Amino acid sequence: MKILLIEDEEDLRNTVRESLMKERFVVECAADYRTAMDKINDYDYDCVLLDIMLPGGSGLSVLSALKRMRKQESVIIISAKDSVEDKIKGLDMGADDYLAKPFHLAELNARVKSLLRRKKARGDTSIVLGNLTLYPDKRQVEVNGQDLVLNRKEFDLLYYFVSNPNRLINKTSLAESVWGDDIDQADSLDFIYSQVKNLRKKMKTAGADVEIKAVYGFGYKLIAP
Amino acid sequence: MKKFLLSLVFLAAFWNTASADDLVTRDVAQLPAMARTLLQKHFKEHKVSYIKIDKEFFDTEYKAVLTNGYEVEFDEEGNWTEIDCKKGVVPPVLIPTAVKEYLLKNFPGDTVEKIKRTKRRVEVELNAGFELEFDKNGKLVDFDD
Amino acid sequence: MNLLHYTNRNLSLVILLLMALWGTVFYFLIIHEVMDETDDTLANTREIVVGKVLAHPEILQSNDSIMQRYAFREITPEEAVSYRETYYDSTLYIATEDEFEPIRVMKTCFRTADDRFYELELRISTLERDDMVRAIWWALVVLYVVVMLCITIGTRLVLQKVFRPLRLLLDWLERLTPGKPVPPLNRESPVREFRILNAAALDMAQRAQTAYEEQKQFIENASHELQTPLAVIRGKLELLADTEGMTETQLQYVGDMFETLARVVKLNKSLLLLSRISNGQFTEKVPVDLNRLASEIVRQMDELYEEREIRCLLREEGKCIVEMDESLAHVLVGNLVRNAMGHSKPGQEVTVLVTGQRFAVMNCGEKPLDPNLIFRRFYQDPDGKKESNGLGLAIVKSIAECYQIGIDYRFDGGKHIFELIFVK
Repeated sequence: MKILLIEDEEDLRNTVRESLMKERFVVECAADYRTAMDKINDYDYDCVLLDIMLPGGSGLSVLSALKRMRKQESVIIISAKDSVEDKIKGLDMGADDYLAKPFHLAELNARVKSLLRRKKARGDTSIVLGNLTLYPDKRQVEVNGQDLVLNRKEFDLLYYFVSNPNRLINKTSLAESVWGDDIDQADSLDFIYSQVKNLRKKMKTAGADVEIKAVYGFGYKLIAP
Repeated sequence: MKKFLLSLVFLAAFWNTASADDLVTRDVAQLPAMARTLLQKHFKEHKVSYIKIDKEFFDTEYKAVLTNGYEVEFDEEGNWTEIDCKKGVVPPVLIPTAVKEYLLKNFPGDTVEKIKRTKRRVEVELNAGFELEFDKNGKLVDFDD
Repeated sequence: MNLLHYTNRNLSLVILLLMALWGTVFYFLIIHEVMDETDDTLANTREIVVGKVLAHPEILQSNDSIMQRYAFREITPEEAVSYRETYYDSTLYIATEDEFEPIRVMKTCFRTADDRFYELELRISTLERDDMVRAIWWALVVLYVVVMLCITIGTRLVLQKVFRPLRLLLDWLERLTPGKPVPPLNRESPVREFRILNAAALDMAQRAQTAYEEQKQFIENASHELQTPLAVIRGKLELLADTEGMTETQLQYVGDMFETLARVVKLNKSLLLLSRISNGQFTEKVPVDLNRLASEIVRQMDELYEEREIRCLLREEGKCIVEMDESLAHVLVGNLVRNAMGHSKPGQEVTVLVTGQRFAVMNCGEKPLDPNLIFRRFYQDPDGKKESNGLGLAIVKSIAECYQIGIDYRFDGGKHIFELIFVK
């Protein structure tokens, strides 16, 4: 899987690249408009992570160039501008997703994987981890072929976990992914705690061989066999 | 403010005249010496009925009314300014020489009832009813019957 | 009191004072003059009467008793020596009219040819004088009224014209709103002072406007510029947490940093939102179904706070559709409900009430809050939670102001009530 990361801020670029490489993606980087245009002209990627404000030009121009070339790349806009208009504009121009800075790497992972799955599998977007299968579109989970009944939030949490297997996930990152970022943190963390507890119980009862491990004071980690 | 001060000045001036009220006394002693002498000399057969003193801004005028009705007016120094003898005769000595000569020549039978003098003019009224006006040299300047 | 009334009042006072003063002076002058004339008349009458007496002494026996105009009285020579002529005011009873008439009296004395002394008393009616005083008084009153009328009308006309540029300037100043562009101002005026004033006002307004714009822009830019570094920190923390060999303590530290960072991120977003609202960047207006929005948020909140046993109930008493930006409507309702939920204790409940033109959120409380403080930025309830950044209600207020939505807080029956009032 090849990903092009277009981001002018070096630190962020390196961080995101490292994170994606951990997930065994091949990551190429572009720091400005010119380089980005050269790369998309010369190579094909599975996914493009695109910052809008670039030295030398707008990320949106890169997006329209991609669309003009009728390329198949999935595009995720990562922007410092968290405004609805920008989001709508980006999505209208053909971007697949929009992620406002400062995002969680786990969230980015989940979004990238979700896009790639949709693209490759052509209908079958299910994720299989050991004896657990998760169908994001149907919002269904099976353990050993048996339905595991989860409430909405439990499903969202599990989906986030299976998108980031074997990765330490912070509580705030979890809370944001299921609630959005405009929730009072302290209260949502309580909620996360109880929901994860229920989720773990249900998974254990169902006999899933993946396990959500609590890391005291930090968050959780999904251990996949 | 200016207006105000000006009004005050006016007011003060009027109060002044108001306090310098006309003082009338029958006492001849109030008259200037010259006036007293004149009355003594020419009208000693008549007594003074009353005297009127007009104190004006800059000068004082005296008027003596005699018991027979004659009226003699004086200026501040006591020089006579007017002698009105009603139907009587003004003592000829008081008439300026030039005027007297003119009258003797032109109105020989007439007597002077009233005489009035200012710095520049002398007016006389004759018993015949004529009024004559002379300049200070005794020259007739106006005649009126 | 406006400038016109103030000027008029002061002018009237000054003129009243001057008129009163002048009236007094004028009165005394006239009275004195009249008195003088009266006394002169009396003196002249005396001359005529005494003249007649001297010519016809028999008159002495016939006092003018019918007209009562004069009277003789024989006096002794001793009396006569020290006699002083006097004038004085008196009254005289008029039998035919049955009233007292004011008179002026002169007393003088004279000597007759037979060397006897007589006192002469002369009287003259001064009714005319009283009439005159009255006439003067009325003349002054009429004069005052006329002068005042002229001055009032005059100053009104003149000042209205003179101060027209001032009024225009005042209107203009009233139209000035921070954040809105400076309206045009006609600086032309024949009066130099007004030209200077206009130029200064315009300059000042433009400078204030520029400073305002720059400041707003500054907050927005600063917030934007912070997003990328925050993203770097967050990413690095995630990478750090995921490195091999992290001890539990180290992870706890990183976890704390995550939480703190999340607060910074939230604060930055709130600031950005606030400045974008006050920068008027939300111009789009769509009909927002407040009932639907409220039920969505209430359901979310109810779910979120289920664990803490805080219920959120929705009461709908009417359909409420508001024209505003959809995302702002979301923030507006969300912040109000979240604020109420966050300040509730386990077992309590929050009621959201939607009526035709109102939206209210009620939660339990012990004592009223200071309505002047709660909507301020960074206001922290002394016993509130430290996680809240104190911007939630400030954002509510700026959104309300942005759309002219009335906002009201009151404490009633042990409940905090935050109410939005939509006036069509």
